[in-house]
Amino acid sequence: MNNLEKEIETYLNGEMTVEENKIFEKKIELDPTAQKEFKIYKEMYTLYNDADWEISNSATQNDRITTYVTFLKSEKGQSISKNIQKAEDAYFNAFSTKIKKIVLYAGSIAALLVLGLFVFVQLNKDIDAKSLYAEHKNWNDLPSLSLRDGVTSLSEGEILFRKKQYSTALTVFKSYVSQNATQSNPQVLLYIGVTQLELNQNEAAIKSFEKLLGSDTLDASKAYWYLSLTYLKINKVEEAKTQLQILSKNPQNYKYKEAKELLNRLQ
Amino acid sequence: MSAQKYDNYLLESLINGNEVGIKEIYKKVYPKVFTYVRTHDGTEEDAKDVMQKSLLQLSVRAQAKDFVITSSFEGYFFTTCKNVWRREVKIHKSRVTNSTVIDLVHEEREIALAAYEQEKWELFQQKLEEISENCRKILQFFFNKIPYSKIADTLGYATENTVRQRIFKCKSKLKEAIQTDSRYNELKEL
Repeated sequence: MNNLEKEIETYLNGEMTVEENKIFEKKIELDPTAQKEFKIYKEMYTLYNDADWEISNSATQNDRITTYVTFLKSEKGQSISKNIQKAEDAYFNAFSTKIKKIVLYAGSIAALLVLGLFVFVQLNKDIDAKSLYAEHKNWNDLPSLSLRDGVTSLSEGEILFRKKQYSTALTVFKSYVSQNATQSNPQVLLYIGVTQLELNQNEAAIKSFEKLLGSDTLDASKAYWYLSLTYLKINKVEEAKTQLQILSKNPQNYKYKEAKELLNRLQ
Repeated sequence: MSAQKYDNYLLESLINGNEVGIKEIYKKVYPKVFTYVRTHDGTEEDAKDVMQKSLLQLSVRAQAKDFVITSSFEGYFFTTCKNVWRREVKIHKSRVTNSTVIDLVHEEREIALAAYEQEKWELFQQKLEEISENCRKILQFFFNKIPYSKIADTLGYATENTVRQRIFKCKSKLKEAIQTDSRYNELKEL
């Protein structure tokens, strides 16, 4: 225990004045021993905090890092990486394979298995619809709100949304809508719907997208796409199909190609 | 298969890139990772990403001949996943607030850095286990930013000042233990 440790503690606890901070930082900079001591304490403050993580500087040099990078770039490393991907694919497809096997088996003792098969197919649909939703949701598609008229609350909402702080984002969007009740902004409605999806408020999301649909703006047709995704998410495959069929009628429609492709997979 | 044998099989699969065995790890651990990430501000995509990165990270580390897991494979791997997600969140936050500049680095280097950070984290955790229970408790409170007054109440210290002094001593002891461990030196930046 010495004075330096006391000083480090005061500094890391944030108990120094601005002036003291400056003097301390200068001292650390000039004294390698003090620097070492300071570093380990700083590491302790981060590594023992359950909500934190110590990110190393991207230029960090250490023998291990070099070894790891070399391995990852090697043939073996690459092949392991590929096999992890394959295992992931296999894991997420396992359910449908299981069904196929059961279908084969059912040929011989069909009567007994009809009921079981029915249950499995229902389950299978459930998984499929949800994974189709996961596969197609891409919120990067959403138009940016920050460019529009410099309305700061909207750009703030978008930032929160991108940071995945959905409930706060939703509050911001909703208060914008209530303050601008006379002119509806279709893009904000889109964000509200998608945010509700992320918060698992699926019914509310449907309402928001339906509102968008009725908004009589250029963006209105986008609602069909987002409605279909919502229905997939809650496993209402037939309803999802209805929305997709509307989209697939006209090549001018938003996500026309994707809608056709999705429809095919759902048939 | 006994539990130990099964755990060895999982680790071996990861070391050799055996697809069937890795799928087995997915079956065992992915549902937990999914729940963890979803309840910590992440999406399903994030959960998949965390799972992949953690598998690769552990595979790389386990290539070293002396690598061992002392707890169960599942528990150990899940901890890695949680740490990978904490890392992602921290990087994301730093990018948004720009408080520190974190460059985009190549995927291989990213995995390597994460593996290196994980090793340092494990060393620090192990050292914390080695000091007295009394010290460990008070420090865990302190590092998780519990106020001195609350610590005094919970652990039955008379005054905040006693808590302060105790923390100071324990911290110094712990630091000593880390510093004298040869692995700390190995993990130092060059």
